[in-house]
Amino acid sequence: MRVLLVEDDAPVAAGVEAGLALSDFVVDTVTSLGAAKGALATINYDAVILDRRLPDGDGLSLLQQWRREHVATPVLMLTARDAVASRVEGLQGGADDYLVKPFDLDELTARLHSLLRRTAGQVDHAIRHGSLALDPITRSVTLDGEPVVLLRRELMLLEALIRSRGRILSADQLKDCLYGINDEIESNALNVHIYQLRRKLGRDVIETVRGVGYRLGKQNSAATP
Amino acid sequence: MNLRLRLVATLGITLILLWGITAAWSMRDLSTQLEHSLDQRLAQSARMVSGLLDRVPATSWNGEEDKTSTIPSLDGIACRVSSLRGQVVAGTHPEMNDVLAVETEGYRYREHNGQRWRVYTLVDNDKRITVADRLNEREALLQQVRRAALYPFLLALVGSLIALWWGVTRGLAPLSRLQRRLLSRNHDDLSALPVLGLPGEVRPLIDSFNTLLSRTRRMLELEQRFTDDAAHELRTPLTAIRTHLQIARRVEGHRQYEAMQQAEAGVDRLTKTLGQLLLLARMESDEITRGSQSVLTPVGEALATAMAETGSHDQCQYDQSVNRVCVALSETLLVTVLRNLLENAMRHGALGAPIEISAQELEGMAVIDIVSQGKTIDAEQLARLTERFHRRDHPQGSGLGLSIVEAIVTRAGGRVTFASGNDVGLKVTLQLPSS
Repeated sequence: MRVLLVEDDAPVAAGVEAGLALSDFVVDTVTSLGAAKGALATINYDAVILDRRLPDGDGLSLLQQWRREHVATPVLMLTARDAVASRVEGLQGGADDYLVKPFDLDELTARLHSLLRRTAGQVDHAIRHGSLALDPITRSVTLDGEPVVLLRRELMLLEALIRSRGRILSADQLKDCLYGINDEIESNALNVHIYQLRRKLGRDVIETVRGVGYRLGKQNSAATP
Repeated sequence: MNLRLRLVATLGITLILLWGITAAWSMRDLSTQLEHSLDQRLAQSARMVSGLLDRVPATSWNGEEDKTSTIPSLDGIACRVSSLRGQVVAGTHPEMNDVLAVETEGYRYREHNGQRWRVYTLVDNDKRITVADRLNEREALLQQVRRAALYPFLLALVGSLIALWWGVTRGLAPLSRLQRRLLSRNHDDLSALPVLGLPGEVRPLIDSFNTLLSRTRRMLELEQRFTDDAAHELRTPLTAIRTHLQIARRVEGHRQYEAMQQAEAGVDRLTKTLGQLLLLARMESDEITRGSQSVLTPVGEALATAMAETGSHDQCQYDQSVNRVCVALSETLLVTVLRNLLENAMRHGALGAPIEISAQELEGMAVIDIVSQGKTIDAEQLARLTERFHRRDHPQGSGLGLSIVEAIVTRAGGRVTFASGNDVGLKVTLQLPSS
């Protein structure tokens, strides 16, 4: 899952980036409101972590602007101000969640997951697709109740496909979910991951739509209750 | 006491007193006048009887002695005609001899059966005419007149009291509105009170109240900003430390080492910010500068220490003048001032460019100039330099250095000024007492 981190303090940004990467998030960091605006306009992020105090203004103003423009991406605000009034202000300004510095990395991860789960309209953490179940927090996948061992990128790819709920995702969109702006991507990397997923979960788990992209196999979705 | 109540009470009592005195006076006057005119009427009726009797031949009552013609009595008035010798010729009320038997001319009061009469006697050439009014009738009349005169008085009094109440209430209405507005205000509402529609007497009061409010508001804003800034400056490095420590627990090898290093860098930053913050707080509590006035510190020595602490020896250019000037400030404080200024010059000035330091004595003050090259700072930024946590665009500083410099210099009775432009990035001028 791809997250945009807007934080101007380099040590904090580096820490959050590294910490979230441990939970298989792909994090892009920008340090100003202007850059955040540009990044969100270009890439379809699953969530935004937005610091309030930035060199070119208050993160809240950008969030309000996004909400006015009907940008629905879930936003988690970070701030050093712990006054109730400022938290309320943030939530009323359109934030989906609010975390006061210094926060716990596990809490940040848990809150991000719960944000994504709420956005998807789910009740529990596990994302299901037929007999396939993926727990985004424990990073585990089961097929017919049997655990399946997947590599990190394979898991991220599967998560993106399940979360898209049968929508077709282009190769570029899938790459966006797997790699950050600064990651080196080998040209056939995506094909390798798809091949591995099919090998481990069955041939029909991913359907190729020629010239458009990929989506989850129909067989599995037919089994969805 | 309520202003309205006091006004109404004072004016009301005064009004009642004035109206009362006027009324009493008029009543007294009225009684005298009425008595006077009734007396005149009594005398006129006596004269009328005398005139009528002049037409009657004198023999008609002189001749027949002991014959009295009795006129049927009227209630409340009595009359008697008698000869000068005392013989009663005609009259009403024969039983009222004690009232009507009067020898000499004039007015008098007489009593009969517990009732008082006003008696007037007219002595003519050959006869004596006595007329009498019962005072009961007179008093009843007087009562009626009094009553008739009293009602308008009462009406006017009540009317003026009502007008007084209304006028005072209306006159004080702006104050009542103000009071209601103040009472309904939230206790932390610091917005200015509207002065529109207020009477001229209250306006200066509200104006100064508004000035006070705006000053409080500004102070609260500054305080709020300081708290926010302090929270930000302290919590940000803390976040970095915590995050990197948590990462260090989960990774191994080189990445763990890196995370630990990041955490340590965070601790250093936090330590520095805390130190500066505490120094500033101590400075503002005024304790640290007390008693340091008696010592004299040579600028050269303090500069050497400051340069060593900041590692800026190679960048600094100064001449012997710094060794000749002394400052009435403890060495620790002077070093703190110079260290902060040098750090600032290194951080914000052009990289590696010389920092020029000079000192001289002028009119009992030591003047120290520290000039660094770099980008020109506009006037607005110059004014904000000593603002706490104002960091410009440099992420490393705590934003407290120049605030500390200003605090120390001001406490020591000196002054610090900033200038920029003409190939100078920033020129800091310190003026400190030198003895």
